[in-house]
Amino acid sequence: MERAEERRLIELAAEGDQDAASGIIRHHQQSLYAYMLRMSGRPDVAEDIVQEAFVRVLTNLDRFDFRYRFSTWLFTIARRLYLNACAKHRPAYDSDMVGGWKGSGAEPDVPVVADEQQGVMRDTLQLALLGLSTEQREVVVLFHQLDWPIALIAQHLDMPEGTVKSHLHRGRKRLRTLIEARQDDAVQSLDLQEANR
Amino acid sequence: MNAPDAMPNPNHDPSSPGPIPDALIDALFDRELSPDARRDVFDAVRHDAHARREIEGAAEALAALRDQPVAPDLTDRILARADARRRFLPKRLRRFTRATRLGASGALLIALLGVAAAQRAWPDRLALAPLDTPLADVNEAFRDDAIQSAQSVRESVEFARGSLASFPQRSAPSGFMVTHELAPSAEARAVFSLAGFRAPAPTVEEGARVVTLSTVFRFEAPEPPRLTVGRTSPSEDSGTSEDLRGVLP
Repeated sequence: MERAEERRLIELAAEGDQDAASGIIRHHQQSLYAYMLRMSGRPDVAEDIVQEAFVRVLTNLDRFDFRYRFSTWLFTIARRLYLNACAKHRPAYDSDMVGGWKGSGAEPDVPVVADEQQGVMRDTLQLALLGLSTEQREVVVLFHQLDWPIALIAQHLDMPEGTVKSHLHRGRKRLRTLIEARQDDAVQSLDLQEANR
Repeated sequence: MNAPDAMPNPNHDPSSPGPIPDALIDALFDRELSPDARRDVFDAVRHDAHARREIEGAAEALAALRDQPVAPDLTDRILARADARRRFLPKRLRRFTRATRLGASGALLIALLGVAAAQRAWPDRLALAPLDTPLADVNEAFRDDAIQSAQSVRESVEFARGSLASFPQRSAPSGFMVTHELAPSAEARAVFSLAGFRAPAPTVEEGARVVTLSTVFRFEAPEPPRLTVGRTSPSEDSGTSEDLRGVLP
């Protein structure tokens, strides 16, 4: 969305225009939900945080400073809500697994086996992500999933760019290591099952 | 691309340009390399099995990361929750609200300016807070008090003259003095009374003029005049001034 168009929608929504508010929600909810789902690993938590973050933003639109990016403001509020929720519910948020992904058997032309393999990879990935520290996970998701530049991530997380890069490099290496370890475990488990037959 | 250490890499092809440093792999994934540099890295990867495995593993994980989860449409739920906290308005009502807000702001501004102008024109009538007493008023109040006190003294003296008319000429007082007492109360009051005395001509003792009062007459006014002289604590003693204590009976 162009910034001028986004500004127009924000101004209208701040005056009470429901259609403009809907436009803002529809534009940002996908990426915010993906971010929160990757961070929490739980769809119910992600949904709840996304809703609350949007409600807070929509009821305070008149305070928004147009010098900043709207998405940064929205994501910052969501992040604070998530960290607060983590502090309240620890360690429940790190233990459950993810469901509800794009392409989960809905398209008729996707072969079932390929779909299952994708599903296994997604679960493996999410488990590996939860094996990273919160900072590493956040930086990896923002950079590789949401394509945020390093400078914007540094501003969002309030840390120097060098620290962001350090988290990114370590997180990426650890993610690969964790995924490989899980894949090796899965292969060994299959071999064991074959041998038992 | 030279090897950073002397350890031989068993996966390394001797015809290759050298093992790929980790920093270069990081730069590749950080999207910091130019297209030419990327091409060089991909060429070098063909000769470095270790780096190839690392890049392929990371690329697979990051590709899976880009497979975005399906977000449920939360729009209606969000709007309902937001509406419960702060109502959304229909377009027509919004225009009306905006006009009303502008009108109310303008009216408030005009009212404030009017009050400020009126206060400037009639400061006494539109005093929002107690006004400070100007020094001129204090001065005037003191003057009024002084006039009132003098009036009281004059009335007392006239009363005393009337009382003295019946005195034999020989024993008439040769002078008058005003005495005062401080009453013990939270609001200190001085009670004035009039005394008459007879005295010979003053004598000089050790450089001071001394008058020895032979006879003192004290006249009580029907309603002694009272003068408020200030506030004091209730414990303050009452009494006659030192200079008159010996004079009074």
